Amino acid sequence: MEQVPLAHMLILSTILFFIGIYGFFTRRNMITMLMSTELILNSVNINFVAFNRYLYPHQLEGIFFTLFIIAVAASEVSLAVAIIINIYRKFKTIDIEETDTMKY
Amino acid sequence: MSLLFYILAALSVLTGLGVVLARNPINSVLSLIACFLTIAGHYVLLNAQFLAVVHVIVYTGAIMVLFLFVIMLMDMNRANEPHKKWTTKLAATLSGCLLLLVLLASTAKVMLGGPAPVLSPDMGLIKNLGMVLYRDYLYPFETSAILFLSAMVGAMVLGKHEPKKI
Amino acid sequence: MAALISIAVFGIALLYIELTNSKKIQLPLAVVGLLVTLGLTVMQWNHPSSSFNNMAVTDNYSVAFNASILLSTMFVVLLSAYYYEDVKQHVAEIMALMLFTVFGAFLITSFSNMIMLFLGIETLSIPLYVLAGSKKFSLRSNEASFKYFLMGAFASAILLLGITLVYGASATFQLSAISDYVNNTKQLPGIFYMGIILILVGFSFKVAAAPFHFWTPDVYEGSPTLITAFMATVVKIAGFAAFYRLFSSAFSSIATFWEPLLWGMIILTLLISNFAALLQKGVKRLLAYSSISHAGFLLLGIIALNKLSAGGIFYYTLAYSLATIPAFGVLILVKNHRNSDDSIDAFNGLAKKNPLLAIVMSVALLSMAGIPITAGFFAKYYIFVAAIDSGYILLTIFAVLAAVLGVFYYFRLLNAMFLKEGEAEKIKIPVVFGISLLITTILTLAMGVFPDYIIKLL
Repeated sequence: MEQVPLAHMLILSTILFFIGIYGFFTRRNMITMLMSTELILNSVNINFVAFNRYLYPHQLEGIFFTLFIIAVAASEVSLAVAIIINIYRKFKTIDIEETDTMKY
Repeated sequence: MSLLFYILAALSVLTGLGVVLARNPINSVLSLIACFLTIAGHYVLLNAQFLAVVHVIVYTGAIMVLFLFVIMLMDMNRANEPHKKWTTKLAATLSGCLLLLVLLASTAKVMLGGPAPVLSPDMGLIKNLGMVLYRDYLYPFETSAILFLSAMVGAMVLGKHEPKKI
Repeated sequence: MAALISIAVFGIALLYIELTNSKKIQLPLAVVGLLVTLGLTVMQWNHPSSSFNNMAVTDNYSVAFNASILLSTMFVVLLSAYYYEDVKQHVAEIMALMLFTVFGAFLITSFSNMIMLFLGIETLSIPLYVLAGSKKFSLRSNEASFKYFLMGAFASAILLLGITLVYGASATFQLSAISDYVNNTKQLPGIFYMGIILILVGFSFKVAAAPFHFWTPDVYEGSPTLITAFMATVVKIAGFAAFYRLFSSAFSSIATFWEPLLWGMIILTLLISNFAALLQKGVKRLLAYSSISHAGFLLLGIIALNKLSAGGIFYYTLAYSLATIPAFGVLILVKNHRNSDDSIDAFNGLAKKNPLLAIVMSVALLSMAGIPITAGFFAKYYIFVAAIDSGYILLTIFAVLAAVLGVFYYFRLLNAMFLKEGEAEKIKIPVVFGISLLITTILTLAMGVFPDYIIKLL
């Protein structure tokens, strides 16, 4: 059974990370921006699990960190959805630039 | 095994691109679901079965349904999002690529001490995880309760409909 | 550990008190909770311990920072009696969320494992996202909340990528083990350096240092003023406590690598914030930029990295909080009487009709500017001494110049209050509000006259 080199796993997660960053900066829809941050978090999770499996397989530290990240991400999303619904209900838009009343 | 990884990796990247490029939010969400499923596949290949299950349940089952629900609620099933200026996009792409190159250069050189050691397949299963979670990780486990409580209270404070202006 | 449990229990108790919908119980309960926790925290002084497999350590460093967090929270809670006078709903929840924020702050002042750092930062931030959006009918508050959330999530993601790369190199999340790894490895891998850069970026997002400060003015301006005071003080104290703990214990042996980065960040932060503050018309935004510039001075304490820095950072954060809270308090009163107008002109002629408010505000501003006999003077002095002690003479000269520049915009406000004519009317100061303002002012002066008692603690 041949093994995938660790570097390839890391390259995969890095690419996903930057797809997320690209989405975060170029999209204007709040929901899509939120999804981009989820993508970023998941790429980090892949990193943790891959390091855990390849380099230090007799500890479970990376896996636990990932579990906590998943839990925290879930609670963050629920909060973000509450904020978005509140904005939508009051102002009927979720476009990040239309809600931009403040300037630098 | 190796081939499976590359197929899954290609699918992850493609669906990931779908998330940020699709103009219709529904398509974005569906791509993200597919992307998360491929990531769960990676977890299984990496011998973290329990994590894969949790990932599917929490992300695909709960979070993505929440997203779909919100999109339906707001009736956004249309591709009406105006695009940002191309200069912004170019700047985002360029800076992203530069950072990507730096990161790739630093990660590609990671040296492995030989191939990954073969493990007993039940390493990532619930029994072992539970032993470690309630022994070594009790403190973060307990403190995360306050985090969830505040998220719960917060969502209710923000989401509750006020009959009139307070 | 007892302090941590007590703050959580009082937070949960406040949630139940909401049922009675009686404000007469809510505020006293929150204050009692904070006082009990303060007592339990101070009892841990000189009793260092570590618990739960070395996941959390309690030492004098964490006790000192926890006490100053509790003190700041208490003053903010006292101000809230007036601020939420006409608000019928959610007041107890807002206080409970403040206590949960303090819980998160406790986690990161005493972390010794990266998992606790991450969980603590999230526990600190999640209630704050809600608090920033607690003025539900205001678009600005909602916008601030969402902006804060996005930036917070983004910063956490970058911090996490940094943590994972450091983990990939060193195989551990324990700070002491990372430090051992750095000392025992001849050639550190590239991912380790990359990890440190990303952690640095993540932290500078959180403590609002340039070039990652751009969200701060918007979020500080959009949030309800009381919450801004809370964010500006508690988050900054806790953030810098964690920042210094991480970089002094885990990465101190490779300081030669990250100190140049921090050097550039300090120069940028001081330049951008002070020049931007000069241009501001609104007081709230001015205070936001001033808070960014204080982050620049505090980073000076981290880059110094010697035995003087911990005390210097502690003294600075405490002095900064004790000046920021009354400044925002006076702003709340003036804003309420001028129909939400928070421009500098709203302060015209304040000294004639409201001498007490003008004096409180002046002491706060003088302390922020670093004028002697206020705490701010010694705060800057100790930080500069620490930096010079480590050989950063050029940087210190630059920081002194930035401090001089800072005096200008604080004096614009003083000028408006004392020299300009305005149609200000008499503002009635609510009792609890006045007590909070007076105590902070007296403490600021006391710290300026007897700095030794505080600085010798750490």
